[in-house]
This record gives sequence, structure tokens and C-alpha cells, in this order.
Amino acid sequence: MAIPASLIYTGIIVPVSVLIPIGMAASKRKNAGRPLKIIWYYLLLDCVVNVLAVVLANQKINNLPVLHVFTILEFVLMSYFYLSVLKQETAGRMIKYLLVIFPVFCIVNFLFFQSIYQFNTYARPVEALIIMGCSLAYFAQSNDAETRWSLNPVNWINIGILLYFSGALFIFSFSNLTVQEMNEKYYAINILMWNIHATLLLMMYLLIAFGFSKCSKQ
Amino acid sequence: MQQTIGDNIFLLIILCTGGISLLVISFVILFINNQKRLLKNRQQIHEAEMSYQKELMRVVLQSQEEERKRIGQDLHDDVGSSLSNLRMLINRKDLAEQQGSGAVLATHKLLIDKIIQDVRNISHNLSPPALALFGFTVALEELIDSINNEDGSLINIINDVEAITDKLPYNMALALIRVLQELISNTIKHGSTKRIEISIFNENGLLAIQYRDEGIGYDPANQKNRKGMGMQNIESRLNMINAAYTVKTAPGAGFAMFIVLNSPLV
Repeated sequence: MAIPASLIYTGIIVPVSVLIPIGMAASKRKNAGRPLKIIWYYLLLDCVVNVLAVVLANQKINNLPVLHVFTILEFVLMSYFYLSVLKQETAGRMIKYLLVIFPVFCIVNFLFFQSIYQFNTYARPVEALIIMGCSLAYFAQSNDAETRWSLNPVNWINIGILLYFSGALFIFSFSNLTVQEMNEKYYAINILMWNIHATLLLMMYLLIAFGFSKCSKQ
Repeated sequence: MQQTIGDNIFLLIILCTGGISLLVISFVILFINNQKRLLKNRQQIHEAEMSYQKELMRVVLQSQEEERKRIGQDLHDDVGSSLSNLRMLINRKDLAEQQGSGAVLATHKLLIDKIIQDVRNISHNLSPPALALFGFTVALEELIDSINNEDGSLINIINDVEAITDKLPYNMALALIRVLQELISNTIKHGSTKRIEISIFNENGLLAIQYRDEGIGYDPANQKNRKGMGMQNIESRLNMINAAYTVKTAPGAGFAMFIVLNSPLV
């Protein structure tokens, strides 16, 4: 089935680019600690979801229910990642509470507020905000230089995560609005938005890959 | 109207996502730069500490060498030459004839007394015996007596806390005696003064020593007056016993040092 030219970037190039960090991570997996292993699982989840989304879209089946489930799984993995890198007790306790509260919020959201056939424009921005908070908390924690900053893989991965979730915050929020009206103009806006999203995602993948490349025997 | 709003949305999306991404990227760049600076500062401080330690080590070794040289010189010049004199006197050909004469015996006795005195001086210098036997106050008085003028007017001590200074641990008392000895020798060497005052007192529960001379002083900002070995010796000894000190001096205004021991008085 032929994919329109405008969707090649968002539908093929970027989803496939997840193989770059996966490849890098696979080569460095022996040296990876617990935080990096969690990121490895996150990349695998991304890969599976990308494949699933593309397959469903090709079958003309609405793939948005996958997004609802993915949001919860993504949040859980990201939370475990930050739980393993943040040393502050308060941060750890808050993440543990959110690990219970957020999935409940997502389920309540798709059961009572937003259909699973729509974008979860309440859950995804909230998730992005929480993850941004964790990312900034990690920045605050690593503000006292012990070793050379650039040598720590987690720092690079953290930058990627912050860049992706903050940049895509607006896209997560307005994704339903732009598909409501299916005329040509809104379609173009939609394409632009998801191109920007794909670019941010690509940057995150590259930064994660770069982070894994800094992973060495300690 | 709809068309205008639609056109703006493109721009708004780019502005919003671009703006936020720019914010994040600038934040990250600033953060990394700050981190680099922190690391650099840390390294600089570490290097400065290392070179300070090295300098102290060098001073310790150098003063050890100087001390050895001084002892060697004292032994050679005083004890050695007196013993040589004695030997020469005994060896003289006419000795047998004069052996019985009281004048020769008296000379020999004088020389032997001088040697005994020299050896005493050298060993006192190495380790003041009064400190171990009678404590800080007596040792300090002995030191002052060995330096003071005949009328005892050069150095004046006021010790308000004799009971406490006599209970100081040996290493602390020795360090303080050495520091005062060094200060006095500096004053005599460079200060051309007729008066030195040493006060020892209780400053808010801590032992304090105020040393003051009315000599010519010096300009502490002048590079030429950078810490000499004497001052570095004083500093390392004070560091060793965890004492803080401040120096106050200016050309023509004398020299003053205020030392506080950072361990509370018993």
C-alpha cells in the first residue's frame, strides 16, 4: 500500500530511526546500569508501538487506542527511569504516588472523558509536564560537578527527554482540534504539527543513541 | 476571517514549539556551560591546594636541612674548635714542664666549661628540656632570658592564663614556643626594635596570643615581602595545631600577630 509523500517522514523515516538508539543500546547493553536498561525497554516499547501504529493505519484501522495504552506504559517506564536516577527522597516518594495516580487518571480519562478513538489530549500533556518536572529535578541534582558532565550517558538521555516532551507539549494538547475539521487547511496544519513532533522524536532518539555511545565500563 | 486565523495557526504552532525548544536548548547550553565552569573552578582549587601542600612540604624539608646545617656549623665552630684548641694545648711540647702549673690547668678547665656550655646550648636549641620538665611558662621564660638584654627590657611577657598554658599538650606547647622563637628572631633580624610584647590570654574561651613589636614593620602588599621561610614555618606550625592567625603590619608601624588556638580551653 503506497504511503503519500507527505507521510514518508512521519510514517517511515522517524519510526524506523528508533533502530539507531536500539542498535547503539544493544552494542552497549553489557555496560549499562539499571537506568539505561529501563531506557532500553522504553525504546523497544516505542519500536513495537511504531510498528503496530503503522500496520493499523495501513489497515485503515484507528490506531489511537494504542496511544492510550502506550501513554500509560511510557509513563511507567519513564517514572522507573527517574526513580532510579533521582536520589532525593521526596522526588522518589512523589514519583511512586504518581505511578499509581497517573494510570488511574488515564483510565478514568478514556472511560469517562475522552474516547479511546480520539487523542488523549488531557493525559498526554499531563504526562509530559510530570516528565519535564522529573527531568528538571535531575538537572538540579546533577548541578554539582563531580566528573565531566558529558561523560555521563544519563545526562544526554535526560536532555533528549526534556527536549521532546517540552517541545511536543503543544502538539499533544491541540492534536484533537486540528483533526476535527477535515478540510485541506487543517490537514496541512496537522501535517506540520506531526512533522515537528517527528523531528523532536528523532532528536530524542539521536540524543539517547549518543548517550548510549558514552556508556563504557566503569 | 477564517482564512486569516488559519494562516496564523501555522505560524503559532511553529512559534510555540520552536520557542519552547529554543528555551530548552538554551537552558541545556547554559547548564552545560555552568557545569564546565564549576568543574574548572574545582580543578583550579584542587591544583592550588596541591601546590600549597607541595610548598609546605618543600619548606618543611628545607627548614630541616637548614636546621641540620646550623647544628653542623654549631658543632664545628664551637664544640669542634674548642676541642681542637684543647688538644693543641695538651699536645704542646712544653706541656710536660708546665703540667704542674695552675695557669695551664685553669685554661683547660675554661675550655672544657665552654665546650659543656656549647653542647648545652645546642641541645637546648634542639629541644627545650624545660618544656617537658616544667611546662610552657618556664620554657618560654627560659627562651626569653636567653635573648633578653641584661636589664631584661627587650621582651615583655604578660601571661594571664599560666595554669592553662602549662596544661597544653606537648606538641602544641612546642609549636607555640617555636612560633614565638621564630617571630622574635624575625623581629631581631629585620625589625630593629627595642621592645617586644607578648600577651597570652583567654579570648572567648579560646587561648589567644598577641605578639607585637615596635620595629620598622613592612608593607604586606609588596611582592618583595612575600612570605619568607620563617613566616612559612610559622604558618605550617600553626596549621599543624589548628590555630588561626592574623598579621597586622605597615612600614614604620611595627609588626603584630594575633594567634587563636581553635581548641576550647579546659
